[in-house]
Amino acid sequence: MTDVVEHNYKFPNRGDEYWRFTKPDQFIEITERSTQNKLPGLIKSVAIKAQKPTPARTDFLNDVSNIGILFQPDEIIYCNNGKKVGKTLEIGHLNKADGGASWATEITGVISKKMQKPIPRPFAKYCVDNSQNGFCIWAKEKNSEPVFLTYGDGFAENDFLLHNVIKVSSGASLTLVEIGNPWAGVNQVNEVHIEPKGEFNHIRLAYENPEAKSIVHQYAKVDESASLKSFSLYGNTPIARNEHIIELLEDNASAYVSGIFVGNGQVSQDDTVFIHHEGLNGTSRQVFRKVLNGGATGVFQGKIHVNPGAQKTDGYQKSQALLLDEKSQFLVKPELEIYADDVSCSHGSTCGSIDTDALYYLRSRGICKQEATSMLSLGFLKEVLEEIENKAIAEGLEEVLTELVNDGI
Amino acid sequence: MLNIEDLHAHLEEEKKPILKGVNLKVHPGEVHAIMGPNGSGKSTLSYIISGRDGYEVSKGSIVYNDEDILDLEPEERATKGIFLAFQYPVEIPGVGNMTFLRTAYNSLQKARNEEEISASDFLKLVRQKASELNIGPDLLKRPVNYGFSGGEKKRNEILQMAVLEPSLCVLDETDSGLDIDAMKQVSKGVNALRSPNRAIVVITHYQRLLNHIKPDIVHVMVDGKIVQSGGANLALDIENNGYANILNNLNN
Repeated sequence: MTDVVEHNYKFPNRGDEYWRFTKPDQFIEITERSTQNKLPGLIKSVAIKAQKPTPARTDFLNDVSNIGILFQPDEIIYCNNGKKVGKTLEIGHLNKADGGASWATEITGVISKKMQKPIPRPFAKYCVDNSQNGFCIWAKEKNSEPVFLTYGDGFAENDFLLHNVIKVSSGASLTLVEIGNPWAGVNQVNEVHIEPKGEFNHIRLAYENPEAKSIVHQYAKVDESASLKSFSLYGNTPIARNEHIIELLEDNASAYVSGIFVGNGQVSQDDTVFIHHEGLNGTSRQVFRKVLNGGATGVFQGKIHVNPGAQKTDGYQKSQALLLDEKSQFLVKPELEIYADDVSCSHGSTCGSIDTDALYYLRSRGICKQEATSMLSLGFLKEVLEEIENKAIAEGLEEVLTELVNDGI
Repeated sequence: MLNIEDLHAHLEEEKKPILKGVNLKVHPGEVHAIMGPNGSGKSTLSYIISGRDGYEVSKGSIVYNDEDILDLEPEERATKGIFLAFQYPVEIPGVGNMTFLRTAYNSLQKARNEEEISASDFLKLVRQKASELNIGPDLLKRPVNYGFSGGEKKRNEILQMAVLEPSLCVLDETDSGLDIDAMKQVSKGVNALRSPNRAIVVITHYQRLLNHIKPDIVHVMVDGKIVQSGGANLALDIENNGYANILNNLNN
């Protein structure tokens, strides 16, 4: 463990409006401890056809793509399976000391800084200001093959700051899959700029490590007719906060965010989503489902903010939880803040226990109570996988989800 | 096979008795029909046989193949060969019909210490049974009963019965909500399952169904008791005269 560094950042306390449901204390600890921990620099720049070990339960991804980065304590391996990705894609280390990639400077620290208003997010600011670790990924054209950012094992002793910068050029597309959650603790920021007609599909798989504490902010600026889709799968993380701050400043932009949490025991996961509509004809969608057991806590705070000029906005928000015991809880704060008069926005939140009629029906066919409960929980969660653009990944995740649910019930 | 003696039961939440001393004996190979006016306790009897939560048996016993089953969980009863075709099959979004059927099948296999069936072998088995019941592959792919028509739901119940091959089948108003063609199809499916080792108990309001599924014994249930039993003619008598005669006889 490294020493705590003195700083002037004003971290939130439990009394703050958006920290009433999740205690910020542990995030403060990991953030303060993390400053000195630097991940390896650019050690192996290109390892063609590198064998890419993946965390457990992600083997199916090997059939989907081989492009990406494997990030380990002693080295960074770039995998491109022998293909030249340079024309459509550029991947590099976000080496701030060297100024980083030149294209990244217009995004790095810029997008998140603007979105620190009206609600400051000191954890994200701390990470952006102090992180020495991270990657920059630039999709220059359409990329049909997904790109993996795999956080390999071996980081379990330390807390880290991690800062990624992603740019999707006009008309370009990128599917980025962040895999693994190996840290003791991580404070991560992704800054994303999707230029006009660009498409960014993002998937975060954070279900492998029952010890990891994580706070992630993903800032995204979505330009005209561009689209963002972001899905996350969390399983049994002791404490995790997944925050999206998205700006649809121009016309016809869209943002879809979705997530699943399977929690069993003294664990807690928080999805906090802010979507700001400023352009005309914007579309946004928030779909989150959680299955909670053994005293687990699920949190959802979602806001659709529609500025006066953002007419014809179509905003949708739905958060649902299945509580498998009386100790578990689902804490929600759905919000609509609408200043335009010609919009269609809706929000809904539900929370309930297993349908006893369905449970009896399954049991009457010989399926034991536990298995029937798993089947119903999986059925409840599975629909969210439909939000994932890449069908091969969605199908693979169905099996992962089945295992997570079976383990968690 | 099934011996119900002096069964008294009520809802756990209400003390009002529903079953007030039911006696019923069913032997292998027999088809029994239970008829009776609304609210007489027919469905409750079927739920208690299959082990639904929420009911309390205050007196009496249900012995199935020489074993008292009242303390068994619903899944344990199912693995011993008891099957209830629901009056209102439950819609389960998110759970595929095929997955459900295979899980149920393998649960029974496991409980009997037999090998689980592979997905491909099971597919063959189900396809064959489904085509006999005129159930298309589309229905197998969809979530359990989700968005099924009334007829499709009932046919899906019979499909489960055909696949799981129980030894005691209780059909709770399987004819309700069916048009005449669907009823014929469902009856055909049930008749195909008639066997010397299997007993079938058909609960129905109407004699109509019994034209297609010919019962050996007909019982009339009134106010929580079986008040009269007889041959297939008893059903015809009820069809012609309603329950009035039976109720009058009781009152006298």
